[in-house]
This record gives sequence, structure tokens and C-alpha cells, in this order.
Amino acid sequence: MQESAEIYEELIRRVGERSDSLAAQIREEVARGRLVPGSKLPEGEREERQSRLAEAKLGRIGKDEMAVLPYTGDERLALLCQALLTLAQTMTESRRTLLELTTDNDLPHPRVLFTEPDETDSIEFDLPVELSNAERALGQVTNLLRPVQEEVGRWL
Amino acid sequence: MAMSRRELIDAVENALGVLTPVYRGAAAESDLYEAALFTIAVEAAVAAGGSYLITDDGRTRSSRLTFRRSPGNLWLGNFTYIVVTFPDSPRRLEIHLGVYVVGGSRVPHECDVAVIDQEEAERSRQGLVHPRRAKLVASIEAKNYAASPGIGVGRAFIGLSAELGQAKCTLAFPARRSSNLAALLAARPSECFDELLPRSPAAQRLRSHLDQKIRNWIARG
Repeated sequence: MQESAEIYEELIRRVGERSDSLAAQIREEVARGRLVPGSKLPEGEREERQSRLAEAKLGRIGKDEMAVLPYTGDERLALLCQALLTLAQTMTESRRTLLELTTDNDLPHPRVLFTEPDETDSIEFDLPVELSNAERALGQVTNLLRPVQEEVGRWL
Repeated sequence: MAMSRRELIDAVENALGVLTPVYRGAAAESDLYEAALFTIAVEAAVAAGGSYLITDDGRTRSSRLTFRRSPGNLWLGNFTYIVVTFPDSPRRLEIHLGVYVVGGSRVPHECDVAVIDQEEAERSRQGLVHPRRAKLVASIEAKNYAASPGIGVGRAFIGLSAELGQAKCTLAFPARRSSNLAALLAARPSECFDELLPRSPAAQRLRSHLDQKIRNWIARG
């Protein structure tokens, strides 16, 4: 897709406004690029790099060397959307698994409390409510992102 | 082009809008993910033939799940853990979330999920000393990453594994691993489980892996 790199930049900024940590994860992955053996570089890319090396008299890219391929704009968009889906799936399945642990063991309260030993900085989850909300969100996110997946065309 | 630029941006923006009220923040979502991996360790103990008690005091069943928000000493606080018994073995296990275990350098390290010989856990409670790595049966290092963790996470995991015992340590995260991380960890005895969502094929593989670790520990009894 044309302009996909620009769209990615706009979207990752919006992700960052909602969750710094999620945006940072995606940005780091994009910044790293894909590690590939020199022999697996696409033909045109390999020729271009070989040509630059030859010009500078720096040898050739060997078969055992590792190269980095930057993600294309489409691939960046795909990564971003996949990360949102993975987040929604993880939220749902974590809640579901913990709710099952409470029901399988007949715990009177289907809740999980995360706390410090002195009970400062606590957060409690009412698991049936949390699961219901997460399932609904996952369904909506999947429906919203499916057309984007089709548009981007190629998933990693 | 099926979608305009505007439509595509709106779709992702709307997805973010749907997720925001349900998402409880990075730390809380990581807590939940670690607790979900804790349940996989419990399932592995059952698969290995164990029966378990979910407890805060070692004797009575918990009324609700209570876990540490940050890593802590095993003996401190009334947190939920699992006691596992086996029909044909006197050995018992405990499964804890977020406790310190002492590594080879005598420095305590956090285990997100720790499967420990019960005698060692009891020794920890009575002596107010950290469990030792020799009595650690298995541990899971959880990284709640929706995109692949980087090399830094891989390096840290290698260091943790060297401290706690390479074959005992596993790394788990929900994202697909990058080629960089895969290459770093592929040739090591510690296992890495990517795309690990509860109830996923990766979760089944982790459960089987832990099941075997527990069976081997019982057999060494």
C-alpha cells in the first residue's frame, strides 16, 4: 500500500498516547528489522549491497554473514495490528484461565487481588466481569482489524 | 484499494478506543499474564499425576486468589500458592508466583513462576532464607509482550538461566519471536515459548515440558 509507512507513523503515535509500553515494544521491533542470512537477501537488495561493497573494495557478503532487512511500511502496519490483536487475546485468555482456576477449585470469590505484603498498591479483578468485557473487546477489535489485515495483505 | 487511508486509520483508532477501557495498564496486565502462566504450571503438575491444594497457608483452601504485585520473599505475606502431592511418591511440590530464588552466585533472583520442592519451601518459611536453585524444579520467566521482546530480554534470560540452572528455566511471551531472538536462544538448553497464550498450542507445549520436568524430579526422588 502506498503511504503505509506514513500511516504507521501516525498510528504508532496514537498507540503511544494510550500505552507507552505497547508503542515502545512495537517501535523496538520495527527498529531492529529482520535478521536474515546474507544469502537470503532479496536479489535486488543483495546486488545493491554487493555493489556498494565492491565499490569501496570491502569484499562480498558471505553466506554465513547476517544482514538486516528493514520492515516495509506494510510490514510495520501488519506488526502494529498484530500487536493489538495479541494484546486483546492475551487480556482475554489470561482472565479466562484465572476464572477457571477459581471455579475449578470452588473458590467462594471469583476474584484475583495483586498486592504488596503491606497491602499498599493493590489492584483487584472481578474475573467474570473482566472476562466479559475483554471478550467483547476482543470481538470488536478482531472485526475492526480484519479489513486492515486484508488491506495490508501480507502478515508476518 | 479497498480501504482509504482515513478508513484504515479510523479502524485502528477505533480498536484502540475499544481496548482502552478494558486494558488495566502494563503492570496489571503483566501480573495477570504471569498468573495465567502459574495456572499452566498447576496443570502440568496434575498431568504428572499430582493432586493439589490451592492455599494461602498450606492447610486450608484459599477463598480468593491473592498474588504479589512485585517480587518478594517466599515466607512473607499470605499469598496464594499451590501444594501438590503425588499418589506414589512422598515428594511434594509447591508452585509460587513472584518469589526470589538464590542463584549460583548466591544472589536472589525473581522467579515469575517457581516450582519448588516443598521441603525447600518449608525451610524457607521456617528459616527466613531464600529457596536454593538446587531445589528449584522449574521456573518460568514471563514477558507480557505483544511484539517480540528484543535481544536485551534474551540476554537477561540467558543470565538468569545461568544462575538458576539452564535446563530449569523457560521464557514465555504472547508475541511471535523475532528472528534475532530465535537465533540467540535456539541452541541453548533453556526453552523459549513464543506465541504463548493460555490454551494455545504453545501453552500445551509448555505444559508438557513442565510435566516432564516434574516427572523426572519425582523419579529422582
